[in-house]
Amino acid sequence: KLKVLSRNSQDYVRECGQVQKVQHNPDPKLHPFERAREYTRALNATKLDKVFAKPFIGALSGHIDSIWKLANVPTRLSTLISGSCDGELRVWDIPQRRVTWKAQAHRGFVRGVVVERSGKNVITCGDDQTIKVWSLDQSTIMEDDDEQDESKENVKPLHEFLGKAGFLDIDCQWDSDLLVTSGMQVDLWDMNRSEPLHSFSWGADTINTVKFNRVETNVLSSTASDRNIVLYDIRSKTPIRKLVMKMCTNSLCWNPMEAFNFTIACEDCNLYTFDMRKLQQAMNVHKDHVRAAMSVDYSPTGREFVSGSYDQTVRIFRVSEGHSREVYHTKRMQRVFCVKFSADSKFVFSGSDDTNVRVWKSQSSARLGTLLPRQKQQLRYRKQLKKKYVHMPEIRRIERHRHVPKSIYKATELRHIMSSAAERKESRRRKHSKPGSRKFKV
Amino acid sequence: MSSRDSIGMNNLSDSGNDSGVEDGPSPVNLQADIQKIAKKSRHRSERPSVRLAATGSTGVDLGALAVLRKELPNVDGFVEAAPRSKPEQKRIARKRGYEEISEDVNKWQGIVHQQRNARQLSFPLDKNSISIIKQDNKFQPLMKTELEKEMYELLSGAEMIKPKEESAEDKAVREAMTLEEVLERNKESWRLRTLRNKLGKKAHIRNKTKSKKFHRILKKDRLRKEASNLEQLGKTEPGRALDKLQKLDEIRIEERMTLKHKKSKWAANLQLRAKTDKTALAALQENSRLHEEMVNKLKKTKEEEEAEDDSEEDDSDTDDSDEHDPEADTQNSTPAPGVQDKSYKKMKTFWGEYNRQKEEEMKDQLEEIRRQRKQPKKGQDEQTIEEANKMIKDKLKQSTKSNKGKKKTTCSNNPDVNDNVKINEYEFTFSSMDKPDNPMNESAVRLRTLDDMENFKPDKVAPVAASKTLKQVANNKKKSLPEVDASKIRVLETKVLESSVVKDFFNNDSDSDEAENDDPNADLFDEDDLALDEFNKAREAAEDAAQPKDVCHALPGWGSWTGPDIKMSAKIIERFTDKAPKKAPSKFSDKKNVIYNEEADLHQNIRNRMVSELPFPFLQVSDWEASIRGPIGRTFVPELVHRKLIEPALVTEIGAVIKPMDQTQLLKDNRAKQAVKDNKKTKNQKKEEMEKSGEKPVRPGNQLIEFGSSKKRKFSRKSVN
Repeated sequence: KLKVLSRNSQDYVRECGQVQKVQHNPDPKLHPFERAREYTRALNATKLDKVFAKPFIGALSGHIDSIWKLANVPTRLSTLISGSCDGELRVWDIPQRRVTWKAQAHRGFVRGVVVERSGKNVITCGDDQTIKVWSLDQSTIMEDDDEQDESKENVKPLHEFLGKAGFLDIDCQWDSDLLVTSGMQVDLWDMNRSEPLHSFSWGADTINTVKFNRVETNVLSSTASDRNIVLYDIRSKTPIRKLVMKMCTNSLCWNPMEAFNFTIACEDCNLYTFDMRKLQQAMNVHKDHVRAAMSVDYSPTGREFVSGSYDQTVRIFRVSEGHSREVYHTKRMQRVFCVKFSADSKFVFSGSDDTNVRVWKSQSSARLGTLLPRQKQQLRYRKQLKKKYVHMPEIRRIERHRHVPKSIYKATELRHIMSSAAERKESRRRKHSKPGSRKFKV
Repeated sequence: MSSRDSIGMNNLSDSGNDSGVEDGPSPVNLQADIQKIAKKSRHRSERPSVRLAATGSTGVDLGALAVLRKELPNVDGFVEAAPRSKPEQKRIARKRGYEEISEDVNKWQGIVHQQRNARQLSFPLDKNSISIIKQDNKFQPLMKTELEKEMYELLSGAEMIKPKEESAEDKAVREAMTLEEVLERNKESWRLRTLRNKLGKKAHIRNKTKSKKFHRILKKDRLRKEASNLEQLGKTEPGRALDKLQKLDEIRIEERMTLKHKKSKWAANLQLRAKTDKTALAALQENSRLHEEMVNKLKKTKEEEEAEDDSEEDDSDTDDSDEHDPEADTQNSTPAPGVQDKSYKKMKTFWGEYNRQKEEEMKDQLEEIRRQRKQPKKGQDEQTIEEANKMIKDKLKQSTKSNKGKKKTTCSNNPDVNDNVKINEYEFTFSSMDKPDNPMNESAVRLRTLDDMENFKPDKVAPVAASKTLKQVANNKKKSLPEVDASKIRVLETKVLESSVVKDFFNNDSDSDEAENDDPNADLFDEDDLALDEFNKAREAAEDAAQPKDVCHALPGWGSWTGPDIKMSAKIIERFTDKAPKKAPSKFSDKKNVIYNEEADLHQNIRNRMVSELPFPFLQVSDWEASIRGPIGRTFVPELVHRKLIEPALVTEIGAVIKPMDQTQLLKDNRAKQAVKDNKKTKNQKKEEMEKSGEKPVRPGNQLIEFGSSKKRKFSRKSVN
């Protein structure tokens, strides 16, 4: 009989799982290549990030016309509401990727959709001069298309207000039940009254969008087709300040974490971030779109925002940076009219001309679902490594690389040529004129 | 009056218009304003004439009046507030409103600043709620006067101050253990459990050990302990000690009766084998012989003892022997004579009688005890207990001196003593084997690698090796005198990036460099040009070697005759030669004191992976280097440090709705305000420093200049984002 030393590997495994105990010695003398190894790890992490970058989660199809407005519910994450150009309103269950209920809300466009702060009612406005209040939880359950069409007729609004002219946008105050609509003028509504409480007007042009400040809730702002952005104070019942841009502003969004900052999506392809207190110049100009920026929405963290453009792309910008950190596009996605960040900042929704609502991840390579602690730690480590070595040319190159459709690529190139030519011209003019006579453009 | 109006209005309208962006002149408003102004001016032009006419009739000096009117606006307090036009009023209201809001919004500045500069942000933001703490009624104010008492009673009677009532829940909370207590208790119980397990395991291992020596030592230990215990007991409570003794005796007797001591496993086995194996039989016989011998010896010693007892009582050296401890006897006593005396036989019979009687008595006693009690436990302890019993007996005898036939003073016959003797012997022999002075192998050579270890020979190596190494060092020193290989000299220009590490490195070495400059090497170079010539030659050779060579593919005998004296024609050679492309001169070709070895320089691939410019947020190379110097992986740093280092800048929970910031966040603003102040201070300091150093501070607002202006953006095909 032979007697041998034998060890059961199970004795050296942690109780909680199949994790082998490994001894480490952090003495730097034992790790002469630590920097080289970490660099390689960072490189691999960057590459892995690219490998796992699959931001597109799915498309919610069903509308039969372009989607004009999206809204999410302040109390729920799984519900999304979309209004289309043919006046149809759909409430989506996002995890199931199906319609909860739908209704023919308006004749003509559904111009504005917003959910009341309690999360119970949806308020829509449209070209047909009406504001309608819908209960978010309708009892109708959709089975197949035929029933849907029938049920579409069954869904009725709770209330209906008639205005004097068509409405172009609607927004709800975050901490009370006040509503604000835009169109001919900016109207302030109480939910319980059929007439507006107050009307603001400054100038005669059409007011396209209106938005409440989400932190300093008495301040609101509107953008008009005469290139103006106007700030209002609902306590003093006056418009307080006007800002004239070179081109028309399509959308505006207040930063939910910084009370005085807002970002606008402009017709000149750029987005501008402004400080309410210093309107003489923009805090930041975010350039990357090659056609008009149609819509902008802030992440609830207030650190970044998403923008949709006529150039068929969705881009995510950091507030402090001039260029986008991410660009999303698909072959079938047409001009993007509306974008929305989810309330947990993990997802981005886009509604476009091709009648689809698309769901994207806000971090393209983020993992869905719960993570084990070890996985979490690993991801954190990778992220930190990337951050540490981000300036290394190779890593930078890989990290920055994005594929865009040829048309956008060419357009970017063209814009670059044009802008550099203008710069060159300006610099030459300055060179050949009396010093100090040509002022720098601000 | 009217002119006053107009002047006032003009001033205001100016102030309203000077901020051009603010009140963007909407065409409608502008038109209305213009019309109104026009109307007013018309009024103005009409009315004074009428008035003038009137005054003229009364005969007042009109010229003086006109002067007065001109001066009037300058007199304070005299001007009445004029009613303003509507757009003007609106404009003023707007301006005021904007200023107020801007001021109001400033309250968020602190928290925004804090968030922007936070090391880590976590969302959703935690709610700050205000709660009112009720006052407990335990506080009794010191009441000096009657009035105070009355007032207090009145107040407490009116129940203005309500005592804080303890609800059942509160009580439960108060009585329940705190988390710390629970943790403490759990910890304690865990500790006890582990201790028990540990001891149990230890005991188990000890019991399983097969080493006889170990068990013997263990037993000895135990017996000694028991003996000492009993001794102490004898001193303090002799009655109990006797009881215990008796009990031990009983156990011994019982064991004797079972005859277990006579049965040896070895003997039994041997007996079995003895049927076939003769050697076994022999061994058995030998054993019995030995046994007999031993017994005899024993008896003999006993006789002697008795004799000694009779004759002399002061002989303390001879040990008190025991019938049951033959080993000790054999070790102590001198070899026994084989002869047996008659007196011994007598003694034997006597003792036999005596023992038998005693045994019988004991048996009787045992019977009685058995009747009274249950049978005591039998086990492996019995034997040892018996031995302990024996020793204890000895001790007791010693201490009480009640035994008449024994010596007064005897050394306890501990096996320890013998062991000591043995050990001493061993020690002696050991020490005699070794060198007396050197218990360890010492050497002057330090073993660093495995090879050293293999080569190392322990005895007499050290001094020799030491001398050898010394010699070697000396030789090396001789060898390392100037011997310059010019081809190995490579001088490179130090480049732009001023690394702090490198700087330090060179700084440290600078002293030694200077020292070297003083040594004969320099003289060698200075004195003769030979070295310089050599260097130049080497340099040229290196340059030639670096140039690519022409390759001639012409073979003799092809197309022409060949042989020992025949040379190939230049034409053919030229025709079949591949000319190497001229290489561009290297960057050091113009420097005559440099031999540039291109292959030894950093490869272009490595250069491609290095940063060519100082990255954006960093102001100094040292900062940038510091940022990538330290490792962060758990392989290289301790786990906790690693976790600290990889903390994410932004923490969000999956599935948690993040609400916009609300007013409650302002409650914890104090720290934020402080942060802003600090930041302003540091900014100002920085500005001052910058101004001192003559640099232009960069305004944060200047980011906008990049819009449509001179800031260039690199455009590459691959990165469009």
